[in-house]
Amino acid sequence: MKLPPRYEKVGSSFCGGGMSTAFKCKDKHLDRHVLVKVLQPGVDQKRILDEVKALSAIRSKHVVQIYDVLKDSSGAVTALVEEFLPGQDMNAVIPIKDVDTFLRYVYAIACGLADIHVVGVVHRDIKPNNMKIDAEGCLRIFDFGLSRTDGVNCETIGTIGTLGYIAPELCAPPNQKVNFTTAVDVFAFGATALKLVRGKLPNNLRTIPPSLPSADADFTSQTLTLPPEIAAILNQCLSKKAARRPSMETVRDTVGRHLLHGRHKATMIVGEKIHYLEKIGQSVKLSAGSLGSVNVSYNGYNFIATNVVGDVFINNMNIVPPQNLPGACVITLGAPSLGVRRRYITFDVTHPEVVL
Amino acid sequence: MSGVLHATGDLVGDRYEVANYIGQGGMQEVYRVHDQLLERDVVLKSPKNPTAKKRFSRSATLSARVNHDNVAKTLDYVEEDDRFYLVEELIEGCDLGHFLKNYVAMLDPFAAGRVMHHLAKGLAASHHVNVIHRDLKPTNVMVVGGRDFIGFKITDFGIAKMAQEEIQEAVAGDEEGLTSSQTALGALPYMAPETIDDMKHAGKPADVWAIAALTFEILTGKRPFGAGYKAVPLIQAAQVPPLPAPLISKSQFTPFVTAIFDLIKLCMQKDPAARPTADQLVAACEGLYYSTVPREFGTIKRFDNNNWGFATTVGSDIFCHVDSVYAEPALAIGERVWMSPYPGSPSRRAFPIVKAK
Repeated sequence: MKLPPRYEKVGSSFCGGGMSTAFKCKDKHLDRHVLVKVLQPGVDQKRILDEVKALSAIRSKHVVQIYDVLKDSSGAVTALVEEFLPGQDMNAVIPIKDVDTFLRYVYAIACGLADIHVVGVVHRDIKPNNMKIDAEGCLRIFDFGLSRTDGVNCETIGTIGTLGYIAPELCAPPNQKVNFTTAVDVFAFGATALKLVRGKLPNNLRTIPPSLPSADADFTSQTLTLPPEIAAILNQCLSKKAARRPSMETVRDTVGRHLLHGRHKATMIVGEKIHYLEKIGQSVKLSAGSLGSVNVSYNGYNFIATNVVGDVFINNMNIVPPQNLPGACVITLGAPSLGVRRRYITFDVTHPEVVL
Repeated sequence: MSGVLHATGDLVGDRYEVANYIGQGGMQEVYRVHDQLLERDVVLKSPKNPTAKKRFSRSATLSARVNHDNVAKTLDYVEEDDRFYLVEELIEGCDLGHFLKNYVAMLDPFAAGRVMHHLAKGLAASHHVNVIHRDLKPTNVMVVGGRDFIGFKITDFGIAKMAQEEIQEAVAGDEEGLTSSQTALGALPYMAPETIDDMKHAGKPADVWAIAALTFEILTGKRPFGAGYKAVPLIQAAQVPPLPAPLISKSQFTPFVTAIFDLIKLCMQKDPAARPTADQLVAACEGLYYSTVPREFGTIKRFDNNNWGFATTVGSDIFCHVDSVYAEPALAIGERVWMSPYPGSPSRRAFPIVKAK
């Protein structure tokens, strides 16, 4: 196709994800590189329209930015212009050897997919090849060439998706229409996480349909030892039944909680004195003579009140030990009838903010 | 209010349909427009002075280099009928200047720390690609979600290069010259000492200074050296005023306020080379501990013995204790407050609490 004068081709074309040809261009208006994706001849135009629609609807720092669409002389959309992401895809960083790096990547992918799903888009081709780390270290998801709006029927299988990442419900006999939901992305996300850990996918996943459950695909028995709750939720993502897979929002929040493991700090003010509680396993006893006492300990995720003796209240609520303390509270020792003789301890939980 | 350049329904660049006029910065008109091609709303900016074309287009390409979540995205640049336009992502919310003026004048230190952290991230990304902002101030920071205070994005990298000359002329002149330039007047309280001498000295360290001056303002409710011409010698002396006593009088706030104020002082050293880089500031902010629980607005309906009371909110009432109120000795009935609620009985409990408008 003939490019508008605004865009000047730089370098050679490459495959833009199966349905299109992509090439790097210079946008002369803004003096920056962009990626132009042109629909290959003979491919249904709906592909590019779906991709444009998806990219325009999604607002996420983890998704590539669309800038422009190009039309042919008849006014039909034939190409899209998006942000050019330099560098290699996620296959360049696998297998990942440490848990914190793994959790950060998985968290970023989960955030991006949650943003994609919240506007009703299903990506349908989630895999490490379709993700990059940008110059600022932010993970970006691209290639929405197969994307659809949630609830639309998928027509055929085989050509849809990538072997190893295809959810079982998509593996129906040829010519049979199948329904799919965002859960197909959740499955592909699980397979992506598995590839990040293992470096390559187990053969059990690389069949149609994938043969599950599979010991090789079990996150609890990989070389990288994951926190049990993380391994469990990633295993759920690879559930054979779509309904058993968690939402990406749930995955995001679970991984987000683990990123802060052991990084909380409780600030306690007793009288004029400031005390801190921040080491995993550390415990303090707060007591005021015969009025009452309570133990507070930190398990890396929460601050837990136990061993309550006498009258102890948290934000004026009775304690039912073991009880997680709210992020900010006042611990009161002594019965309400004691009036000014009651003791008050403020207890505030803070943590570093994880901004990826 | 309406814009001078365009009316609702105008089509720019055969693509952007003007929806409404948003307002004006010092040097440009800003419109909300509908991108007919991508079927989404975006922001269109155009300078009031069409002779500044070269600088505006240069500014646009500078801002287009920066790609970070804490910086408003540059989407397009259009030239048409002797006018030129920058198209930016639409951020549903308001600018930080508007937030301070209309909602909360002095943020609690945890919120102030969070703003500083996010702005430092955006600034670091722009410095990585050698883009200097030169005009960081509350009105050039967008608050995502407005009153909901969700996130923060630096904007108007585009205008900075253009503003430079006007600011330089105004600051070099007398008081009259300065007050006649809205751009210079708005920029001055955040300008580093070396830029007062000559705007050509506006390098990366001046941006770091500006973020710290802005953080000082949201933390204390006051600009570090005041506003107007009187601020000039004070900025040149670079003596950051100490924190007012009420800001450090309550022990639940003291450690955090002190930590963030130390960072501010580090960034506001007279010698530009002595200030941390944006990357070093980000690293320092990553070491700040704060809570990210969302805030709510409320109105005090009862406050007994200058000690405790309740605020009504759109949800259930919230218990407010004087010890949880930042920088104020007490609250009065009818006063507006901004706070984070936590579970409690029979009412939720607030911490921290600041006065709102």
